[in-house]
Amino acid sequence: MLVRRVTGASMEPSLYDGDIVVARKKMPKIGDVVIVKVDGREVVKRIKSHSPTTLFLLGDNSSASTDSRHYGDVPYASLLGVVTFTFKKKWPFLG
Amino acid sequence: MFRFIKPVYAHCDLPCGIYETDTVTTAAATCLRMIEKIEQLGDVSGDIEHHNNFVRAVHIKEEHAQKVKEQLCVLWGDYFKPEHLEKFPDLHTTFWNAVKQASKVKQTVSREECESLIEQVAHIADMFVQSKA
Repeated sequence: MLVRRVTGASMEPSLYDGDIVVARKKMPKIGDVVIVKVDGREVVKRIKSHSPTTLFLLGDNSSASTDSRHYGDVPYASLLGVVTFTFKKKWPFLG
Repeated sequence: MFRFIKPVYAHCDLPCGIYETDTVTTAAATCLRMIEKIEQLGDVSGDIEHHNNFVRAVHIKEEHAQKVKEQLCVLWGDYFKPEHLEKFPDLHTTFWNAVKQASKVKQTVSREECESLIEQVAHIADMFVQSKA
């Protein structure tokens, strides 16, 4: 199990800077939010599509995201976990 | 709080350099469609469902006119460079007028104003294509 703190805005409105995500090793599917290692750095993105060996990842906030549009498909081997739970830093309905 | 938890990055690492005019064109066209919808709805004072649709159409028009302004400002400020002024000497005026026109589309339900915005956006999209030629 991985526990990570989100930094950046590329996954807004699903994840905001400061949210905590919990990720587990499991089989990912299209639409899952995943943590992958790209160029030595752990990033959080959403799976847009996949091939048997690679994942195509996009940030939900496409205008503020560096993702597979820039670094291409990411090999399955880079997958560290699928986000299964999020602790919001701030719940929207609490203001 | 939680600073001790290892970060996972959701960043835009650098200005990506990817620009397009489809978004602004679609947003301007959406404004016109919303004006048509508002016209079709007519007087909505007696019908709560129509009133709801009227509010939604106005909201979407507002939202997309704002998107037009934002997209224009990105193209104007980030994509176009001083060297483009040589090819398009009226570049600043063109963008300035188009951004102002988007405000007019917010303020009114005028088909003419919106068609003018669409024309101005199309002209900018054409400049964008020419700048890459």
